[in-house]
Amino acid sequence: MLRHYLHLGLRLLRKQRLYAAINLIGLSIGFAIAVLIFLFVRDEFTYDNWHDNIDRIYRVDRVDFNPDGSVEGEGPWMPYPFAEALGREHPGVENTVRMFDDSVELRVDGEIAEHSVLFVDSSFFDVFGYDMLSGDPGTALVDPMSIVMTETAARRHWGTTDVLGKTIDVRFEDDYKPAVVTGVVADPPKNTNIPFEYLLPFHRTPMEYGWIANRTERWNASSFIVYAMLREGVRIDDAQATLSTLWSKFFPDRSERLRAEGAWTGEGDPATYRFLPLRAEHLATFTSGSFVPTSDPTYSWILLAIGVVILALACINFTILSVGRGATRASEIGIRKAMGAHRTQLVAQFAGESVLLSLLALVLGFGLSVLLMPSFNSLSGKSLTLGFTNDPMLLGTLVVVAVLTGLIAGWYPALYVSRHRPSDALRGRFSLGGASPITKVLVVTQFAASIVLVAGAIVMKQQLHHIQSKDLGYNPTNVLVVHSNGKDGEELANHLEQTIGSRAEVEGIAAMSFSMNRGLDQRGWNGGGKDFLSFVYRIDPDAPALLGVKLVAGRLPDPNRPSDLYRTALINEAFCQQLGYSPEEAVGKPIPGFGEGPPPPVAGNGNSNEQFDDLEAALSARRETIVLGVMKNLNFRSLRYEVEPMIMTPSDDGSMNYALVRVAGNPAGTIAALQDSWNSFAPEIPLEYTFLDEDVAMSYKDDQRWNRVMEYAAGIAILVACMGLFGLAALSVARRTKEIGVRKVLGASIGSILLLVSMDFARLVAIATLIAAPVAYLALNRWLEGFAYHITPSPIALAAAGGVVLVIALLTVAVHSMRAALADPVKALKYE
Amino acid sequence: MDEPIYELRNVSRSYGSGMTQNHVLHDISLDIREGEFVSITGPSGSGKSTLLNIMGMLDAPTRGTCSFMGLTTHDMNEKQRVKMHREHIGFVFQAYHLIDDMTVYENLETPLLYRKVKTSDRKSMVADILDRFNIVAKKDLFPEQLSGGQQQLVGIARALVIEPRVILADEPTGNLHSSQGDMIMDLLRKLNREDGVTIIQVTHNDTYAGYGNRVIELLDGRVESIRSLEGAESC
Ligand SMILES: Nc1ncnc2c1ncn2[C@@H]1O[C@H](COP(=O)(O)OP(=O)(O)OP(=O)(O)O)[C@@H](O)[C@H]1O
Ligand SMILES: [Mg+2]
Repeated sequence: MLRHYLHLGLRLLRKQRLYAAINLIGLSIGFAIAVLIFLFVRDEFTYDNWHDNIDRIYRVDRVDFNPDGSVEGEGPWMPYPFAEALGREHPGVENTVRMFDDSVELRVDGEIAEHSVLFVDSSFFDVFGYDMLSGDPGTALVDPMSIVMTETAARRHWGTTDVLGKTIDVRFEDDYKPAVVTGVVADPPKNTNIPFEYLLPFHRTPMEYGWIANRTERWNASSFIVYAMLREGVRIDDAQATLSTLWSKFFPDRSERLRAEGAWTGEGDPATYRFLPLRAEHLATFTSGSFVPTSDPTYSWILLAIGVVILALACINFTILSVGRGATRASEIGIRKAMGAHRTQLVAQFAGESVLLSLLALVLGFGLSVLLMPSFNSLSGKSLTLGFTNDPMLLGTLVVVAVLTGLIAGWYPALYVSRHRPSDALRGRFSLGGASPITKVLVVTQFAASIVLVAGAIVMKQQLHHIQSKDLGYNPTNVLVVHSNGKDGEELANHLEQTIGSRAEVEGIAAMSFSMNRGLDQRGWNGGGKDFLSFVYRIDPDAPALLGVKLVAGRLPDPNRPSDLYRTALINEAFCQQLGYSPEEAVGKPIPGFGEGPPPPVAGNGNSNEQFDDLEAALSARRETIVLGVMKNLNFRSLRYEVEPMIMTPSDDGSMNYALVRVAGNPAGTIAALQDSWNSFAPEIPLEYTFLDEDVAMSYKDDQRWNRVMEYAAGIAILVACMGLFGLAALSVARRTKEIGVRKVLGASIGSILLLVSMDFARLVAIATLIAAPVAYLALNRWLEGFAYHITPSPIALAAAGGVVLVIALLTVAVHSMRAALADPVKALKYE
Repeated sequence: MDEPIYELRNVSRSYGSGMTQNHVLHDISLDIREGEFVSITGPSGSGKSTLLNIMGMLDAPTRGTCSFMGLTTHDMNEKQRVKMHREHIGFVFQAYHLIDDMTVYENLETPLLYRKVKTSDRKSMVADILDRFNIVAKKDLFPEQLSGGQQQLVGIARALVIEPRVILADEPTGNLHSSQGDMIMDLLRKLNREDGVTIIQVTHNDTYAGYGNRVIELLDGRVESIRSLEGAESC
């Protein structure tokens, strides 16, 4: 009996190729997308979960507070002695690992290539769970001259993993120094926060890096990442409570001193420590400094939702088509009942046929996901692979979904038809296909979902365009941002001025504490009984002109006036408001409590017969920082944020971390000269530079990627929905062949028949648009609210989404309606 | 053969409801004894197919009762009804109603599959019936590849293959040419006479109506007349 049905089912597939193909392709696309998204999301949520001790491993973060108690920032950088002190002072900590990463040249048999290396304590293998192919994990990193590498790295140099005892030369400063291979690690999974190919002993760093050698005892050079493993059975709440007390222990009376200096006005300590679970690190967007950039889990959820929607669309499709097919097979059900078929037998037969089809779609879907994997990886920036054997959960889930889809799709029509009297079924008195309410609801749902996605893609694109074309308040094009990488930015700027400043294309060079969109320094203080909170940039006096900031009042600092360089500031409109002045009033006024001190040494040095306006008078008499000019608000952070108060001051003791070079025309031509200049400045450190406009674009990279994901999702959703529509139209036209034939015999024009067939579907799409519009509007508004500068979803965009879907839907239907309209009526009437 | 195999009491069937109600059958009361050969005649639309469907349990009366083999169809559960279809009733449809996606052979085999006949028996039963109807050569064709008359033949063969106690045939000869029609009618008569199969046929053809021992004439859903044809038995 089963073989009989299998035989029949397979023959049906062959005979009804169009129907089968539409069902198979639609559903397999759905499955393929589901597979890819599942892999992506699982990858995101399972970073590092393969370490045996994963639940005991934490990264130690330092949390800095604003005076009002809010968190200013969180990051992992610790001073050299921290790990040892933590182990000593915290009874819950069993082990610690310090880490420091660098990019160095490695030399094997005269072949040189640059690679990232990770310096780690020898406790690394006790804390983290790696498979050692050779070498002893307990001792591999004890000798300072040892090196451990991954399988891939070993093969890269020697073509084999049998490399214990081989020597590799590592370049530190100007010399190559040997390291001996003491271990080979099996390639670790890719979803890790601690990626590495080469491990060197952490205690080698003071031997090779001068600046580290000077800092092994110091608590003020925070450059190292520390992971801690808690003892078994220690509760994280208790461990955290102890950890929270350690900052004041490690920095005794630091808070008091800062308060005395007026640098800290908050109630508690300005900072504390926090255990960040390794398991949570990858999705912890509130921290910084991970070796692998953290990612926002919201996007995983959105992606998951998109995946579910597309799979649901495909399943709905499948159901619609099966129901439609079931209607054309109503008489078969009637006949079978007359011959003694039990209802359950009929349901089993029909459901069996569609389960067969959906399982086939699953197989195709897996194949398709393998084909799509490379493009998906490049879109998502991952390197996912599909392994059937190690993914029983994925496989199982999808088999269940496939079987359920098949069951529902096959069961519904069989049940529906078989509930009726066979005499009705035999008369073909069903309108399960086009006209049944359930099918209509399903079709409308599909199109509504497609329209939401299309609207999403359109509005996202508009928003990104809006952001990117917004006037930032300064000019980011053609500016090179040179990172000082620990060197003094002011010295760097001077050096650049001397070496490349005279080049024709170089228009200006200036140092800044932080560049735009790169690093922030927010300060809070109390002055004149008022609380202030502002971002502070230390700048060369040339910097504002170089950036092209616009003034609303006052003037820019003049590098040739010594008095402009001392206790002066440019403030933005937002800070001006905080001061409580109009821009014109603010010029020449002091900023209370900001950088106070004795009168400047230059005061009174000015020519006595010089004319002083109010500003100059204020400058000569000042004991406080004086406002030199008020800048138009500029977006120094991503446009997700509103412009906040900001001060640029040439007189501050913060360190300069960047030198900006403005170039006429394309800055690419200046890079060779820049490299030479850097080599004569700090040959031991690699040159690191970025383009300012790219730094700005960088903050929208994620948004851009998600816009692209949205476009693909919308495209696939439309594709799947239209495949369903295509099949549905085929069924509808088939059912109406006779009607259309009669109408033609009676003289209906081709146009009127096209209209007749298309109108039904157009109406459904119109309803879908009405349903989708408010949903899309609300969802998009929420997304847009994440941006301080945003558009509102325009009705035009929503209507356009509906229009796009309508046109595609009508084109899809037109294929069939054309065929029906052009068909020979005699043929249509011959068969019932 | 004393117990009537069919007992119809005041059977009415109407479609629609309220104002638009369409009464197709009115108060039909009828007994048919096992082994009878009954012909139902009447103009088109008089309710012949509807009556046959009710007797075949493909439809149910809106009022009145119909009992088959002593059981009221209304009171049968699905299991009993399925059993009746599998074992006792062979139905020949007016519109052939073969399953399009199955070959002639498979169409004939289907009722046997539902009856759970063993594979070897099934094969020989289908082979027999193919032979009997002279359609062996057509066994691997699909219905759409047959003419209307050939499809009708397969439809009749399918009803006979389970060797039912009752054959309900809705215009079995409607699409056949006269020699084929004669062949079918002879076959039905033979089944009736030799095997005691009860036969109820709908026909427009007076000659074929005469094959039965009773002719029931319907008009507008009522029994217009019942004629007994004693002479037919001696024929
Ligand atoms: N499902 C239904 N819904 C509404 N009316 C029906 C239905 N089935 C049958 N009828 C009506 O019942 C009446 C009798 O139909 P039936 O098929 O029994 O006639 P018939 O005597 O077999 O005619 P013919 O000789 O043409 O086959 C017809 O008027 C028909 O329109
Ligand atoms: Mg009829």
